[in-house]
Amino acid sequence: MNTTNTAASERAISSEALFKREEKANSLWRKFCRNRAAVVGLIIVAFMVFIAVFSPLVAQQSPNELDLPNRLLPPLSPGHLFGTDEFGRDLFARIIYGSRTSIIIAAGASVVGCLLGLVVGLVAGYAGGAVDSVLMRIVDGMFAFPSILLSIVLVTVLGNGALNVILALGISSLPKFARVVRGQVTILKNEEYCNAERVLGASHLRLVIRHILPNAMSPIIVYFTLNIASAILSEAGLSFLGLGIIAPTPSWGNILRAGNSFLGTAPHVAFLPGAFILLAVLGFNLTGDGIRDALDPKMKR
Amino acid sequence: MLRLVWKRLLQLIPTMLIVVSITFVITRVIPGDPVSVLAGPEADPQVIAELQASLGLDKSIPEQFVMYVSDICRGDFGTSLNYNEPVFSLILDRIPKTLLITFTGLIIALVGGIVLGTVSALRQNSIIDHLCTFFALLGASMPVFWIAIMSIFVFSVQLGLLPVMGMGSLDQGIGDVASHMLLPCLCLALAPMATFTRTTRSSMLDTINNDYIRALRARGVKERRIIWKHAFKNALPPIISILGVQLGISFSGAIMTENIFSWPGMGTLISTAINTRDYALVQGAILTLAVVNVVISLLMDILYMLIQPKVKI
Amino acid sequence: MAKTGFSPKKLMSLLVASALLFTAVGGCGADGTQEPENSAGESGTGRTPVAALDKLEESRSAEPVEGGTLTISMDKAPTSLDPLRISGYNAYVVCQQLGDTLIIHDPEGKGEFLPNLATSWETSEDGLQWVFQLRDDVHFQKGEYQDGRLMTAEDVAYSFMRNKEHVNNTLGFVEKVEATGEFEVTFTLYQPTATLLYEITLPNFIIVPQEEVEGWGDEFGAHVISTGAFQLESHEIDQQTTMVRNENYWGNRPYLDKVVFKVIQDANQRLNALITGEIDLALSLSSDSLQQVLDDPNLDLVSLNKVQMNTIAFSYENGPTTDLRVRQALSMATDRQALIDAAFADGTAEYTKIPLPQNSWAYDESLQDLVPDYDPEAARQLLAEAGYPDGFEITLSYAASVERDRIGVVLQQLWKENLNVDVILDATETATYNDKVHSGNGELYLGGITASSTDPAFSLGYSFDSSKAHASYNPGPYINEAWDALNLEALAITDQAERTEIYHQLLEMAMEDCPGIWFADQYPCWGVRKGVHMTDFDNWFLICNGETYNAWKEP
Repeated sequence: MNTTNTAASERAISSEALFKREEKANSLWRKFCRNRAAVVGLIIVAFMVFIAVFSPLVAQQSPNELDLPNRLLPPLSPGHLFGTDEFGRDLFARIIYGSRTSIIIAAGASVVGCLLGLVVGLVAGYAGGAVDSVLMRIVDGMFAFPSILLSIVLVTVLGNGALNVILALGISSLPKFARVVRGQVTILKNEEYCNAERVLGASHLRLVIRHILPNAMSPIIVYFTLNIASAILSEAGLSFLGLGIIAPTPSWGNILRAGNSFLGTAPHVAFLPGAFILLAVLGFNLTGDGIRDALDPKMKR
Repeated sequence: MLRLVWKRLLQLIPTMLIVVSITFVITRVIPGDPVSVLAGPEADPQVIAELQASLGLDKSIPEQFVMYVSDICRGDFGTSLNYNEPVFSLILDRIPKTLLITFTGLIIALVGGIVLGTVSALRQNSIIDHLCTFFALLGASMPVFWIAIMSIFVFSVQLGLLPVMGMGSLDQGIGDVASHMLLPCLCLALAPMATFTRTTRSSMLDTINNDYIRALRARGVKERRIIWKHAFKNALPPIISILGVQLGISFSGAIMTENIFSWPGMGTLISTAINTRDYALVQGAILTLAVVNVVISLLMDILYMLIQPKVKI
Repeated sequence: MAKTGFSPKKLMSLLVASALLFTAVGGCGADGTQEPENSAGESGTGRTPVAALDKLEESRSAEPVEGGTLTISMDKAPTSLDPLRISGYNAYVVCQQLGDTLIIHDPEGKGEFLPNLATSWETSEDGLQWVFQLRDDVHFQKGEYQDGRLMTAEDVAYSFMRNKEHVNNTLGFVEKVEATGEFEVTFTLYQPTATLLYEITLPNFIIVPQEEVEGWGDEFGAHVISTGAFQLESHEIDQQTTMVRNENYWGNRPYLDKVVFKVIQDANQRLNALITGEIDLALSLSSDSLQQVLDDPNLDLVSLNKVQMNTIAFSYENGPTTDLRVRQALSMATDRQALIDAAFADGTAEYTKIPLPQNSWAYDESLQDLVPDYDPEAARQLLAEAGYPDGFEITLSYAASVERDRIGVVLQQLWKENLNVDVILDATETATYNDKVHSGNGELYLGGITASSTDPAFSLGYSFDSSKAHASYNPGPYINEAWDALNLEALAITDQAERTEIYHQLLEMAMEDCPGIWFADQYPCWGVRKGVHMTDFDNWFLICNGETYNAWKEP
């Protein structure tokens, strides 16, 4: 077997695969669009990402400027669409800027969890045998912890701050990703084309990166989207407990925590950030479910 | 079958060893130790040093670990510093209370999810279908603590319908405990309900479009009978297969919920234990939750096999 | 229980309920029902102990009724009720009901003492001997290991000596306590100590029988037996502690049948439970809840005559605050009133600049002048002199709470504006914060101590004591031998006027070094449901004792 031959056959395989993938993606997108709920979800996600990215444009006021004489104004007060919080800060601005914190942290945590999970899952699934057993027992061990507990403990150990929260939430979502990836890899590595590649002399790394990973991607994308939703909830939970995000940075969770004290006199301070969390989580959930349905052949109907 | 159970139980051993190690490491890495809590912020450093010595905390970490593991192997979970009681008996007292609300919540979720899912499946792509799925998903997207404080505010404080916190007491009748359970259980039911709805819907759709169901219909069997007797029976296994995972999620939710409602279960026990750096109790409680988690998923797998004997796991 | 009529509050709740059901994201149901009155300082509480005194008068005029259960909430349960081991507010309140101390504080907060188990007491010429005459009709509660026997001087001596031998004791100045008659005990001191009488009013010094202590061993903490008006029925940690009337009590027959302490960790839930009537009395409410308590016609606000001093202590070990000029600059750049307005908007804290509570008998308004007023301009200059014309970054450590979060946020704004100093807020849970204090690796410590008495020895006297270094009293730590020596001297004198003089000197000496920023004297507040008549605000909420107090509840 000479080199040109290998290269040519490889090019053939990859271009064919590429074409297939493109076609697949197109049909996926069409399937996704036919699912109305998923489209609504995607619109919500787009909206949330928009206000997070363009916070300074959306909110004219500063989220951190104190104005004590005007504390706890009700919504629709002049100049304050959502009213003000316990410092007289504009609640609308705080919630808009809060979306930035919450979404960056949730996305960051999902990236961290996904990458860690990929590494662990790929190694375990591909290597199999003893490595697999050891890694998966560790993952099982982590999985046995209730996830919120794991994040609370990790934040306590790592300390406060956005980066540490990302790490903590990322680590606690590791087991979920690792299991999914491993499952995919175990199936894929015994597929015929993988065996063929191996016979052709492809290195392990190449096999994993070029062939196994792309084919394992779809469930990972689904889990990634759904994990953003659960990470938003976890971040809010941590901030609600007073851990994680350092004041005065607004996050939906810490606005809610502060508002909790005024439920009797100013319920909007707790209600509104909760509603935004709900909306964002709903958006990511709908989108994730939509992708899953589009990928799942059983759901064609 | 028995061999499989054995195999799973054997797998449990390394998992538990990992859990024990992780909890041990974590408790020692967390800043602060039981003494700084026990003695209080006012205590002077000499007092703290003396207390540390008296609790064996001045020993090296590996030494402490060896001691701890060997104690556990002998079935000794140690004594809680905070409660001054054996960890084991504390957990035994609390775990039924947590199971009470998690199971009740799960049952509510299961019934609700099956009803919503079935209705959706039967009216596929109608407004009702969309509404059912949407409401289920809405419930799952709510932050538990948010819905908890809001519902307490509305139903307990403003409308005076339900108690705010605690477990009530059996001395005042079952109704008292039930009314205390209602809000926490509903909060816990929200998240799993969406999953159950989704799963029921899709597996119902699978089955009712099956040839043999069509055959039944053609034979003129009553629709209700078809749904509940035949279609539902076939739709059940996927639901059972996710029960175990959902229960794990419920445990996680219980930690937050119990703390808000002052429900005296494992959730409040663990958070008190973490806050007071009660090492033995943190380790024991987490280990117990892990065991319960694993045992329940094992039971679910067995149940699954009983329903669908063909399936190998 | 519920209010009659269709109040705006109810309307609001319905709006919120419907908003919840349909999750309308836009508007929220609060418009129009909001009270605009929220301006700080104007609210009606003023000095809260006064409110407490009004309450006292009112209670005396009503006709008491026997019976009922009083349900009290706490934020966390005392681990052990063994008087040897209790510390902190909750444990004191619980233990106070179970047993009697030799003497108690007078109900008017004059700093005098009333007889309780002791009928009279006198001190020797040199101040080294104190002799207490005891009642001869006090019996212990019936327990597992004794049958309600008579309490004698031996028991008093035993209880005190047991405490003295414990590692965490506060009786270092006592040489011995011995029975010198059947109903007479004598305290022998190493040096004359003015605070003896204050010390022994603490619930740590209720009298316990030796048989029970030894019989229960380690479990005595959950089965405390003493002489009090209420006897412990059950103590379930972090759930509830139940006590019932002691039928053989030597003093007043308690009006209440039962007292239940329920643990509710969440501050808002304590308020909620109080509003719905699930509890009668909520200990330690958050300052945010207070306005709601005041607004609610079914609730009253009362406060304990103990002061929680709120402090930002400077580190003498880390960071820029090791420089005196930096400390002074930070102190001068702090608008204390702004901190109070943000954290204690509902008027439960008083403005202060010094670590001597305003309810103390040594307090004098002129002492406030020892600390310079808010002066951002001068602060900026001083900081520039110290070599930080462009400010610096500094970490503020504290145990997370809603109030402290707010203080932190306002401080961030003030120091940024005035000095270009960036404050990083390091909010952690209590255990982590305690560890930071003990190990001394913070830069600024936001915290405070509760002055358990009006005697300055328990506030000022603790704050700069080098033996309290790296404890929450003196986290800095401020260490000054001359100060320590003078502080000991103040303890050895019994004359109040002379002691006041020395405490003023001590305060001056410490304030010169600017070891911290004191900004608010806060009174721990309780919400009480109308119809609960209680009268003690000077001890630890004594429900019923020999002759002075007996709380009751309208059916």
